Amino acid sequence: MAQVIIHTNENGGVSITYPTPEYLETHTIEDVLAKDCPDHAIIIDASELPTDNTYFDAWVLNSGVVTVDETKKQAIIDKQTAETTAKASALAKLAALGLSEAEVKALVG
Amino acid sequence: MTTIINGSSPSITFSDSTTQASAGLPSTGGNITGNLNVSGTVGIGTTSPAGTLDVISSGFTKIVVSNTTNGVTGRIQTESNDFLIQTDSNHPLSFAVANGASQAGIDTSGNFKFNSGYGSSAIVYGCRAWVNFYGSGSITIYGSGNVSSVTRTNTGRYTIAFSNSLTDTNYGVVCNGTIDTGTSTGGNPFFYGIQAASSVPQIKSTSQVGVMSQNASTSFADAQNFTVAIFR
Repeated sequence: MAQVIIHTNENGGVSITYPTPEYLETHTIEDVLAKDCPDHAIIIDASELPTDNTYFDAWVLNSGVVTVDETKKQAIIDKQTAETTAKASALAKLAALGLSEAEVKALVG
Repeated sequence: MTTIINGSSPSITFSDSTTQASAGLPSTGGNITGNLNVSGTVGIGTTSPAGTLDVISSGFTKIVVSNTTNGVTGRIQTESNDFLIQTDSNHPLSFAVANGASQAGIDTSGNFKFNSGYGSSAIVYGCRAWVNFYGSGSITIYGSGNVSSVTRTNTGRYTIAFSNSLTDTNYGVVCNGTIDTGTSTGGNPFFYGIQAASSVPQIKSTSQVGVMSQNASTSFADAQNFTVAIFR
């Protein structure tokens, strides 16, 4: 199983470092750990990471285990919902002005 | 006939003294005053030349070529683990074809030049590092050069670490990729570039560079087939 390097980053999230196959031809993942990662980074099997990457920014690292922080996850969902709602509202206002769907698309993409 | 000039006791053997004299060669040493024409092969350091001219020694074998009029001096030489072609005087090293102008070479500042369609030989500005990867979810690195790792720090944000550090931070970064329609709600077009959003510190050092991808809503969004190339 492929190995990766993980550590808690400055945002409180989890950074995952993937060595390039090119570099592993002449070096080890321990070399990458020493060269590219902070002192508190650790090596784990990639299979130990959560399989659902949808809320990657909600991942947290505790005692070597990566889990999804539900509070951060909800904040992401709320932000996405707000963005979707704002876009739908803007589109509705344009439509109310009499613009056709094609004209709206030409305007905002 | 094979002419042999061998080691510390060089000797050239002629069939008779008349032939030797007619070649302008002294009988007891000294300079050759005439032309030396060899119809066979010449071996220096070998009694079995493998080519028309074969120069062999146990140390660094060197052939020096000089022009006393303009001071151009160069050599071809065997090293411990490579074969060296260089100028010894302060002149560029050039390659040409068809008796024409230089088509490639190395100038005295160490710049490599070539024509290859430019129209004239010009300095080549190399790609110092590059990587192509799938940047959504579990990263897959398709290929790279002078890159030791790719770190996914947040959605749409990555740090590229160089195998060998660059000489300074005045390099250019070129990024491109394709949208991950599975995770992005912002739609096209994406923005790819050096990490420079107000909420994100820029990372650009001699050992690594931070890059990002954003959707049309300027939200960070993962990219597929993300390519980063460093030029200097």
